[in-house]
Amino acid sequence: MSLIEVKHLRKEYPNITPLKDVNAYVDRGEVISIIGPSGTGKSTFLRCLNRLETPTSGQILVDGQDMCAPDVNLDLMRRKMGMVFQSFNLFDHLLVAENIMLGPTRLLGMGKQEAYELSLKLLKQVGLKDKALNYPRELSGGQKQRVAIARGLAMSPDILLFDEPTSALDPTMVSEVLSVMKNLAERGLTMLVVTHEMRFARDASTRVFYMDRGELWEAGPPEQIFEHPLRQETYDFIFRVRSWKWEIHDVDFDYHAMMASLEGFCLRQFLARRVTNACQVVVEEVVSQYLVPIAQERGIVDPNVELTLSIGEGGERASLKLDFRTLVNAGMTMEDVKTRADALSKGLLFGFTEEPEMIEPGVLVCTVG
Amino acid sequence: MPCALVAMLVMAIAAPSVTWAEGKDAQTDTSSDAASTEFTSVDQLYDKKLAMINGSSFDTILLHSYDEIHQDNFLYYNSNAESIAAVKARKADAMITDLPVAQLAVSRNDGIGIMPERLVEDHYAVVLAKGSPYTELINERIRAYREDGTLEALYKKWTGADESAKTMPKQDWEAAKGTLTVAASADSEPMAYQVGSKVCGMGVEMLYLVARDLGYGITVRSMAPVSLINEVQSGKADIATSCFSITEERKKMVDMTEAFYDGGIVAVTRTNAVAAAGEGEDFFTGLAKSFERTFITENRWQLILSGLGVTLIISVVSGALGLALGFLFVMLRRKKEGGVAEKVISALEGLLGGLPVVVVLMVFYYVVFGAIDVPGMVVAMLVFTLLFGTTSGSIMWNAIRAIDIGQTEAGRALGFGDRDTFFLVVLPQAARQFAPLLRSQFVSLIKDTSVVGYIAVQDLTRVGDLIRARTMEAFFPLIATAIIYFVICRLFTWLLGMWIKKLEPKEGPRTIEGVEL
Repeated sequence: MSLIEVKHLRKEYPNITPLKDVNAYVDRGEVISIIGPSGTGKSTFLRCLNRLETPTSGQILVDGQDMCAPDVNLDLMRRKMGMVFQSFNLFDHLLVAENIMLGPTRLLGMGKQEAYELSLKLLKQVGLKDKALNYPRELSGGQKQRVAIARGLAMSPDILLFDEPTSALDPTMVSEVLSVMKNLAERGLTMLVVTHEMRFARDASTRVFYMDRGELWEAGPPEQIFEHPLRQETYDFIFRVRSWKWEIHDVDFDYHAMMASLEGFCLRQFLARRVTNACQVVVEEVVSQYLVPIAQERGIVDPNVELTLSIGEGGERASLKLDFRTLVNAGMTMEDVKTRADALSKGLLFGFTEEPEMIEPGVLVCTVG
Repeated sequence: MPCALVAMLVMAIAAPSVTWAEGKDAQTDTSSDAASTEFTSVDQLYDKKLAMINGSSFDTILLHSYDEIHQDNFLYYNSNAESIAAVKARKADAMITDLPVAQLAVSRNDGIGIMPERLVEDHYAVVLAKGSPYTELINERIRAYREDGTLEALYKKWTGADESAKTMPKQDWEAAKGTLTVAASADSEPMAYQVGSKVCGMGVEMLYLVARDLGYGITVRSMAPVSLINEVQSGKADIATSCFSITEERKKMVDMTEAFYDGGIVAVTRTNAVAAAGEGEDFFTGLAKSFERTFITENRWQLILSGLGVTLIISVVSGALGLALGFLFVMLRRKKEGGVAEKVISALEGLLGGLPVVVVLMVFYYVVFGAIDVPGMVVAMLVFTLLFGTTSGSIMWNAIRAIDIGQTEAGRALGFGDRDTFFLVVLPQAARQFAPLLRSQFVSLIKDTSVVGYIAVQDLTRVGDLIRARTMEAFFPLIATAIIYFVICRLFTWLLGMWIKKLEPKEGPRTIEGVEL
């Protein structure tokens, strides 16, 4: 029997139905990443599992116990399933060690000294042993989240639930939390992680759940979900989260905002620095050297240029698609490009890209990296 | 309403005062004062500001007697001491009062004197509820006492210099017909006043004689003059005595007996030698005298201590019970948000929050408990418990609601039940927010209790008033009272500060209770 079994789970609110009909199972020792667009019931699903939300209908079996049965002892069941929240929810009035000790001393009858030793052990495990006597407000976001994980572990749960554990963190702190989580995954703890960190989902999970519009569309090993999704919805999502799009509708467009957005995307995708640089140079050259000046010359107010950057496998390569059909339709020719392409910019450009391919007039695809 | 304090009439003519321990001789000759007062006849006062005690009938009587005097001329003060202070400080030109009070005032203050021309004749009576069966019985007795010289003897006794003679008779007769309840003014010497816990005075003793001769028992309660008429109207007392002047207006509201004292209304004005008189006294000597008068004479420090005790008891009991009540409100609200309990509590909050404390207090004393004999002290504690309960309840509730729901979720997710989560996680965090607010609310409560004098409870403020009434001195007792209030408020602020500190994050080396680090 699986550790967790979910059958026909449905959750309705008066004006919205975040979960329509979810069926799933989780075996002991599995690490499940739950991915999908925002606001599609991932968190609700997780919160139903430990009954922070009450399902409208359906069944949730945890270790054989029906979590929706009227006589279920929820407090007892919840001790088996720790939870880590997006906003940490550390108890601000207690020291870090006291945060961790609260559960074991009050619920498991552990002695204070023993609980303190336990808290030190767990803090060491998450790399924060020297913060035992700090207050949560004295910690950074990443440190807080690691303490929250230690607090969850202190109850020796069978299952640990993570509700977007890195979404409230600065990009620089994400990795410290992910590294702790990967470590736990390797130690065989059963984990369910709602996340937007595709790298974590791909590298650390045994299976990935793709959820969208209140349903579990596809569940399978990371290779399946990320490389060969069975469902079109999964493919679209995976593609969407792994591509960057920018439209230019004014010759006086905000160049800096575009470049910042591009850089942010590359950073989130953990693109190699070299590839990131290449992407930036190519976009900068093509847009500011050719497309926009040509539109300006021809008096076109809305050049309607669309840039799409897609990340290839492993973040080693990226493919940039340039759609400037409006300009071509307005009479732009390759001659225009050639006349202004000086040797320098040409060399720079082609140093980073392979020979661009013209899919149709006005749509150019080049591989960067 | 009763006029204010009255003092000894004959004292001026009889022996020199010993009890007041004043430097100035009470045996002041009216005629010698007259020569030096700023005004000498009534017509000089027509356009002047006239100070009088609030609730007295002097204004009505003056308007009735003099067309030239208008309502705008009057300034109302809460005690004779304040009126005197107003005259001395030139905020008013004359104090309008009874002759005995005037003589007492002049004997105890430099720089004022009695204007030779008397304004009005005046008569005092006892007050009963409209249509009281006792009115006619008492009238008969007063007529008899007037004829057999009893009234005159009483008058001499209570206005005489011999303080040791001013004792009340013992109640050793058969109370065959029941008991008369008398509400007596606490500071209308010599007609009705309080010394320590003893209620005495000419009017009070006369009612003892009436009770004895009619075969009734008698119980006397003393209270602020302002409450007396309410007492008889609400039936809490059968008879009220003070120095009630007989007026037509009053007769419409209550029964008034025949006069048991005949006096008159006079004006006290500044004398022309104010500066000269003031210069003679050294500041520190004056201060020492004021101190002695306020604290030492007649063991007044005991009165102050008991008043302080009353203030503290009301504050602390209402504070503790109110906090418990507020917490009960919180627990009820927590059970079901938007439920019936919440609506009732909100309504109570709205009601009590929208009324002045003193009004709530008087409504409870005279209306809610009008028919039942509940001591003012109990009513005061009840009212302040309710008030503190609603405010502390809403302060705590708002702080609790402001705690992020994530804290509750984290507690529940760990496996804590609803109660544990509330007491271990939410409440300690909310307490940090509401503790300082509760502290200032409690200090406000201490100050708010100063209105309990309105329902005949003798708290610190009220005994301060009593002492001022006896010493006729405006400033010193007032400042002494202020200092005592300030000290206890600071003391509680400090004490509660220790509690607040406990809730705050630990300072300095951090420890965990029960753990060796």
